[in-house]
Amino acid sequence: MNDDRALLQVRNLKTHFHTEDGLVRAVDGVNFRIRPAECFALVGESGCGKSVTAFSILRLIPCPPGQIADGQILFEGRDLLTLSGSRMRQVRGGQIGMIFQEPMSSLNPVYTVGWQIVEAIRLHRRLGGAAARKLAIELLAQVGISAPAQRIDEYPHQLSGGMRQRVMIAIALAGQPKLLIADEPTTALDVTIQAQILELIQGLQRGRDLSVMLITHDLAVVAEVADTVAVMYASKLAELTDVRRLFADPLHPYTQGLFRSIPRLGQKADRLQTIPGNVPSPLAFPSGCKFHPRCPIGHDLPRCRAEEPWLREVAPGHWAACWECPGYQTAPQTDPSEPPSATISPTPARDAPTAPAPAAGPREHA
Amino acid sequence: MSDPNGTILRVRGLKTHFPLRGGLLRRRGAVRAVDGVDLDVLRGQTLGLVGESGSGKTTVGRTVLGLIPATAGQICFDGQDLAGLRGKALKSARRRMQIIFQDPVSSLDPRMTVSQIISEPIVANRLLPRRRRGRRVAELLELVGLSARYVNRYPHEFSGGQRQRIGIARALASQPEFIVCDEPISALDVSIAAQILNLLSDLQDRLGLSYLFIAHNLAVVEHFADEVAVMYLGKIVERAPSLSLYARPTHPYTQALLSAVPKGDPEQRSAKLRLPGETPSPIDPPTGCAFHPRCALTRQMAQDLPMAQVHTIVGDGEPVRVVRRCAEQTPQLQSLPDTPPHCHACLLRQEYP
Amino acid sequence: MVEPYRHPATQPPASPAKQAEAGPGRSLWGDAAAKLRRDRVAMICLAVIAVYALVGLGAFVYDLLAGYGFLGLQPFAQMTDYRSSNQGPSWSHWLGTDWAGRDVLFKTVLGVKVSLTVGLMSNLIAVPLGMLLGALAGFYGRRTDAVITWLYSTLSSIPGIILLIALKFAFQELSVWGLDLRGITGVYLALAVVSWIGTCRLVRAETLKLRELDYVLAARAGGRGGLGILIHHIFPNVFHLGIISFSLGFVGAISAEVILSYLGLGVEVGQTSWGTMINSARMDLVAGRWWELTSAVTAMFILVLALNLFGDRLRDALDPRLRNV
Repeated sequence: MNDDRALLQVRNLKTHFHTEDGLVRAVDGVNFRIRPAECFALVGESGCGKSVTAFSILRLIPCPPGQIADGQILFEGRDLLTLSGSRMRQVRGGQIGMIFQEPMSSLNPVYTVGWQIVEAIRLHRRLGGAAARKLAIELLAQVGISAPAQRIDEYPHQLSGGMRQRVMIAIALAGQPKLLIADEPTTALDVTIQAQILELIQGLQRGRDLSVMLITHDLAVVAEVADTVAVMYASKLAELTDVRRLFADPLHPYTQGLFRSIPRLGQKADRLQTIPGNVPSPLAFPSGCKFHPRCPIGHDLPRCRAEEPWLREVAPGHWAACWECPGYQTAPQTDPSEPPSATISPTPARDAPTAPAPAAGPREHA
Repeated sequence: MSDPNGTILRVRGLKTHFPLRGGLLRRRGAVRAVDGVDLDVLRGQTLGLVGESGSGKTTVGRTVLGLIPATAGQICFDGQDLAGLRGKALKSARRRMQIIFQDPVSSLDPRMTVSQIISEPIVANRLLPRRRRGRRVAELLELVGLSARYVNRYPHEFSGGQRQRIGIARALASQPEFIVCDEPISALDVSIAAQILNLLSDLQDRLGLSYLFIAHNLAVVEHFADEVAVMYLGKIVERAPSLSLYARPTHPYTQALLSAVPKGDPEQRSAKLRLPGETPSPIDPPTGCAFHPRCALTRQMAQDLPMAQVHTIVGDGEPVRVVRRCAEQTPQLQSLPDTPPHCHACLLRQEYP
Repeated sequence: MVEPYRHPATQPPASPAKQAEAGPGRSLWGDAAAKLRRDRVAMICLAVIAVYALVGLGAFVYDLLAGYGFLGLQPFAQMTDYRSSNQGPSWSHWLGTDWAGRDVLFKTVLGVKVSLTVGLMSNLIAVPLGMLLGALAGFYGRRTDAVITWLYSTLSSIPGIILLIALKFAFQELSVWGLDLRGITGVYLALAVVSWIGTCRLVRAETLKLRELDYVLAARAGGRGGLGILIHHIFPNVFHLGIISFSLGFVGAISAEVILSYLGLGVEVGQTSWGTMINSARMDLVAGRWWELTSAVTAMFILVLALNLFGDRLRDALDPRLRNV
């Protein structure tokens, strides 16, 4: 059930938005787990729901129009969705830290860098005054900023993009997190700076036994730093496995299509093989498998058009959600959010959760 | 009068400086965005221009088109020096050079329909009478893979990839021969970006277009461009045919850049060549070779040289020794001895190949 | 590994979430209008404004007809009946009578015409003027900008009411282009001179932003000159600011006219407006006669409230940032 070896378990998470144009099911049943000191990558294109997943974990979804409609988020055994507002605030920025894509808009331009780090220190550690400032300087040094004692009094606009991102990481580290959620942390950075930041994150991950949940659309970055990868498409997970296996043998047609359409360094091709069509809008999802209109295999198969597949463990440690995937028909429906030792027999009903379901209903949160 | 060599665009010594109007007590300076660039784009071919932020690559694209006035240098389009043209002749030349932008949202006027957006170059240049414009707009839409039914729709009703196609259709409206592609796929999803790249490639084959392809994604440029130029702080540091550049990067900056690109293979997580520090500001570029404060090669070679040939700089808070010549002499592009099209601007490599 | 794939039929890409049929597109104006229509408060306010507009139109027609004696109608000024002056509300006069025995309700209704005229005319001059100057200043920059900025900075450093009063005073003696500026015409001309500044600033700021956008650059690359870009790209994208300025300026104009009339600098002698009603009520209050003042103030309050609320909702509907494009 709740295993100590899993740091974060997301079970059947569903986040919906009530908009003027209808109900948007941004995340519609997502299961995965993150182990301690693991780098977990959530990959997908824009609109697939990966950022919404991350924000749901920290309960940063605006309450209307958003709503975490179902699911459990177990962090070290406790369901975050049942925590009170003040307890959740302790977790946010404390045990779970987050860094964002645009460092300029994530840092407050009217406060110095040092003030912002100290603010985080004050919120999550019992330090104040001179001790906090000292710790802030140490943190700046740990994230690789030179001359931290001078930089601490500078303003965000005086720093370059890479340095601002480092400051954000320092702020996140101030709360001594066990899990760092990084939402496209290097998308806005130059490639050489990206390499530095990724190296920094990896170093911190090893040095502090920190888990990282990396949200990105860049498969190359995933190849560099991730241990486990989940591919998300149109509000659901399409494939989930460790990184080496994903790159060696992608099973879901969407993942295969993604790999074919990315130019790789050192391999010049005449034409890229593309996935035709567009990512569907959440207000007009196709019936059955959401990928089927664009799928080379399933676009005219009746089953793909009518029924939606769910994640099944087609190979040990490798989950895929595709009717035509080899081995899918006989694969057990294990829950990727459970560690392998806790096996649960496959249930016939498609939507039955594999753990005692919490009271289904909209959740209020701070 | 076209150039017999098949060069459609020839740029020599291009400089674009933006003057800074300082305050009362501040000394004036300039942002030297482009600081001496030579380019050749051959007919029907693609020249890729790569660099990081601050390299000036976007400014080069806009200056070549005349959207930003050049501070110095010569731009020859199809054999004609643009500086010598006026009025109708200039307009006629400009019509044959177009641009595609990076951001699909801000590159289309939200208050105009697709039809109005695409036909704007036709209207502005009075290329077709009104009754024929509709057909041309429909043709252009088909050319970029969009249905002609969408002529009366507004940009916000389309996805990013479709908007980019509309932008391409607009660029094609005046029948250009040369198009500056300013990071056309950076803001698009991976699968859509591949479609757009294929589209651009098809259009090049069908219409004989030449491209200046500006990007920061090196893998994309390797795939798409025939020749690649690498820019750093307003100057070109290396230029070579695409395969040659990626097989044999010679300039230390190119090497660092290529090393930093994630390879996309989890089995090959290589150590990166670390580039210390950040790109300096184009307002106050370093003396001599602009790259020398961050260059690993010059640091390495300075270790074996006598003190007379060594210069000390402050890098990352610590004193670092670099080869004196790198700090004093501005390098020029020089070809590699055995592969002439491949040239680079590194003094040390030119001396010790 | 996987076969190269060719898609059998190229479907037209679906436009996100909206039906992919031929036909006219959904413009941003259409979106804003639809949003407004769904907003109940905005629609109620619009209804109130419409009622006032109809009333004002009726009053205008009345004045016109009465001026020529059609249908036996008398101009309001002459409808005196001194025997029933200063009477409180009664069944024959629902809001009482004024010092000359005229019906206060009727007077209030005629005042609607004045307020609406002032609001409309002053903004019809001020807003386009402000938009034009603001766009020119923002687009051409440098000297044009310097001149226009100097102009509005200087004008705005004089307190608005004082400038208004001064202008109106001047108009008492002057006659510009043969127009008689002593009355209501002078009011709204003076107001126009004072109130174009707000719109100008707003449009100038927006133009500065728009000028740097890619689609303006694309238009230049496509061969458009400066004027063409101003007309086809800048103006359509700042027009919504004009509408917002108009609705907010309307309120300001009504208030300004009331103040001017109160000071005796407003409408011509013999014309009636809410301002003159409030003015004449000064003495009345002391004598315990509250109906004229209350009537004018209430009528003004409702109109201004409706305009303010509607203007707010309008601004929200037109704000590009609140759209999720």
